[in-house]
Amino acid sequence: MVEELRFFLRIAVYLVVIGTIYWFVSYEVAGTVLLLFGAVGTGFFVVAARVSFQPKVPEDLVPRPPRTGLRRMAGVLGRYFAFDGEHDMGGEPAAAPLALEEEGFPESSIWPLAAALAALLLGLGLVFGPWLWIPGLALGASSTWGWLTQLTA
Amino acid sequence: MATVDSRERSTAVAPQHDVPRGGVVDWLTTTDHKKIGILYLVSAVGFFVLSGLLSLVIRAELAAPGLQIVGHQEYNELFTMHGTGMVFFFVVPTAIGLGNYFVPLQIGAPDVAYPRLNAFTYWLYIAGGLITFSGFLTAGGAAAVGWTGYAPLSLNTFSPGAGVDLWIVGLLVSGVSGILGAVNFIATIFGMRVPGMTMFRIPIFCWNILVTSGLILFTFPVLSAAFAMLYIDRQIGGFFFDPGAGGDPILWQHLFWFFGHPEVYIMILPFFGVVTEIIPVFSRKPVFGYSGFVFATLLIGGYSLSVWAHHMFTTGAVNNPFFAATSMIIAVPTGVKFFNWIATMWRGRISLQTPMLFSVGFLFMFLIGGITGVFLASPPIDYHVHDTYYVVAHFHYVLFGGSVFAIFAAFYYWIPKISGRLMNEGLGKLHFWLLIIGFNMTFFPMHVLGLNGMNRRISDYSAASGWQPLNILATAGAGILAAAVTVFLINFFVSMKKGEPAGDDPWGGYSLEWATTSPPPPHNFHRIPPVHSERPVFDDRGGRPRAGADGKPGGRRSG
Amino acid sequence: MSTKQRPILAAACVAATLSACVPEPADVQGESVERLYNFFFIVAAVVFVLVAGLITWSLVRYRAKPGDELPKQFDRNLKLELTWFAIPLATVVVLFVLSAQVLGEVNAESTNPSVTVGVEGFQWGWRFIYEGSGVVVIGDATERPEIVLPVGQPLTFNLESADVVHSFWVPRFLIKRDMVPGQQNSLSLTISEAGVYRGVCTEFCGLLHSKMNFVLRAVSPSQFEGWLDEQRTIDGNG
Repeated sequence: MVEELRFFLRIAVYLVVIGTIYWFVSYEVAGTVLLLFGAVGTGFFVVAARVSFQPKVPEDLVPRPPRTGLRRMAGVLGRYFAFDGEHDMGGEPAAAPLALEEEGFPESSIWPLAAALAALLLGLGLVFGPWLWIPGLALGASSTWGWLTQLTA
Repeated sequence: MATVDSRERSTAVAPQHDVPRGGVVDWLTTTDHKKIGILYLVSAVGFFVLSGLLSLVIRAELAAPGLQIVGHQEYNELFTMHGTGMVFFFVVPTAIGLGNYFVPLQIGAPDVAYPRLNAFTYWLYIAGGLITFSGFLTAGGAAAVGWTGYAPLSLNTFSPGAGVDLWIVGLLVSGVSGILGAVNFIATIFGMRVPGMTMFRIPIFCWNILVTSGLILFTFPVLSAAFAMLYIDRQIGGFFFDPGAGGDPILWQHLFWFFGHPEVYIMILPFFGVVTEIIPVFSRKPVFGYSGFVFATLLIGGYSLSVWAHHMFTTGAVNNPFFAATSMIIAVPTGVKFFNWIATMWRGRISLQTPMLFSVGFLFMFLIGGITGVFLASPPIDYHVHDTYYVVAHFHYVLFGGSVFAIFAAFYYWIPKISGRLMNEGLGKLHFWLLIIGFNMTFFPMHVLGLNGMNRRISDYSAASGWQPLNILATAGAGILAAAVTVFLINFFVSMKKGEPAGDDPWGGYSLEWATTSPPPPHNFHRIPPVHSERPVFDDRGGRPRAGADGKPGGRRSG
Repeated sequence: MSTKQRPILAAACVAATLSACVPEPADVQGESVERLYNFFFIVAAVVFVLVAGLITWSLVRYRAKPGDELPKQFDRNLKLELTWFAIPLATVVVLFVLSAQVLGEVNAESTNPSVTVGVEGFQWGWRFIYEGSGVVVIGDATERPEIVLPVGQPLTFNLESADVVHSFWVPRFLIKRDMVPGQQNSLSLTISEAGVYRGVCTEFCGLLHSKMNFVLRAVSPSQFEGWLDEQRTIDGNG
């Protein structure tokens, strides 16, 4: 499993373990919910993102002799949890799945600033009233539209 | 050396739009991670100075018994906004600014994964800061509930007025900024590394930004939920935290600290990363135990999610041994880092220029802060020192002695890359000594004050308490700190005008940012060296140290 | 630089050793806390001297000189790394076990306290109710309350809050406990030394948090009974 996913899998497993221990030592609801929900969310991400992170196996990877017993278990654990670069099966980004095309970067855009201004008005409006958040909402809607439709390059 | 993997930056870059270069409009509409990084850093330093001024008033007030300068209410606003300003609007944005500027460079990327989102996070941060601090302009004043905002004190009954509402909303807005920024960093580090750069060849700084981003993803939403609940309690008739109506003040503490403790790791991990960049370069050795650093960072990040209620030992509502165990264990990976740093320096050739000087200061100061943290992790000891100046001393040792020293180290190390000019070494050394002396004068006495009974967040104390002498010492130290920061600012402005040109690689660096010009071109690189290890620029030099024109190893001028 | 750092380190060590102690405990449970703290302090001092010493030594011994060559580029040593993982781990395990032990002693509730005091915190004062005798002592920011308690007898404080979170702390007892509205906390201890002790609220509770203090006078049991009788006749208590 690529390191990118192992990063999240380790967290998910840790949260499940520690959340379970926490429940049985404390019977405290808030903390248990936070820990276990964190695990669920992370685990969900790992499962859902596997598709995007299929490792590319280099042709020159020397096949290892099959192992049994403890060594085999250690190998499996290592594949999913280890942080040793030598066993990293595919962190090498030859065709990085999320790389943008070179022409993809908008050089400049007014929409982030406009959207943040909308957030400012919305926020202040939450405290001071509709005379602020209504314009904020309008500005927010138009900057969302502008952002989404801004043609790049 | 074969350059099979090197990627010539072709001219197939997005055609330039007709935007004015460097004008106000350029800065307002930029999506360039470097400009956004600069915006973050400048704004963060602005909030540092603002929050620092608040602390100077605090120290001036506490120098003597009796209220001389501000009243109780104003004092309570001061420490609340000092803490809020420093935590949310200085330390974390500095980390984001440095990450913004240097993560893409260090992994050989032309920008972050989502450039417009990046700009959005910056402007949201500014919006959040404006909203939060605008409390000072309201009739009731700014929030005065402590940066921790415990309920029921933070409910309407006890804190009426817009100050707390603005504080809540401002932090909600800047929380969204943090979350989106974390998404950006993770996507960038996972998705945009140059070929050859496996996850285990990225600089430790990038690993630390990655784990920090993970922590932000896990915990900022919890804080936002807590703030939303508090807002509902205050404005829409909710009673999540109101015991009179069936709510639970302890719930606020759980939610806040589930965020709050990882937050302090969010505030230190990027700076562990900075120091891990600087120490190897200035020791002329590779980082010792790269895997160990990764392992330790992951452990710290993970464990930090399970220690939160050590802030609640005295509430009588949490399982103390569980949290004592997790909190003490988290000292172990931090210790691993310390020993790895020492091993990096061991048998090296250490040159104590300003980046290294501040990194060494960091090591000593964070050592003290980390040690007092272990004291606090023991519930019986915490029963004595909780909510006293001992805690104030501890967290300033790790946040100021740790993060701020490392921030200055980062500035001296990387401002030459950002600006093309070296900072003045003499002024830098003066800054260092003023800072370390002032810092220890201000905060070391607080350990003693706390142990001897001085409780926290008090606007005044009696003459009979005997606390005045140490408080005067602390105030004097604060004055020296102000002088230190002033020296830094003078150094900065003078160097920007008249500093020596830095060249591509003034320090003999290892990572990819040193393979490009200072400052880098808009698309970051003209040529990326091949990446076969975690020290691509070092390898590209043929494994030689860079000798400067003055013959000093680590030399300050590039060839 | 290194020769300048040494005196600073030395001064820091002296300062730390001279002043960073807990106050002398005035209660039995506090004595265990003091012992624990002192043990922690010794461990901390050893760790500090060791680590700071190693850093200082590296700075002195491995300082670059002009004309230096590239040093040997070693970057790993599994045995060393495991060692400095295992030893700190063992250390914190010991510290944890000791802490858990003392925690048990400190938190042990008296089964049969001689005096039970209900303590109610409010913005910004205290109400102390001596259960069973009807004596109530109230004070606030303008007039600090003073309570009297016997030495050498198990006491229980039942802690409540009328409004926001407060916290009950007599620094000389080395133990504090929060007062959370909607929740009753209790604290059991036995005072071991007669004297006059200040008490403070130690959870930020609003405007006059700094003024929410009280005084606790610990006297012999007979003096305490005398005081109690006196209080009963005042203000129609009891």
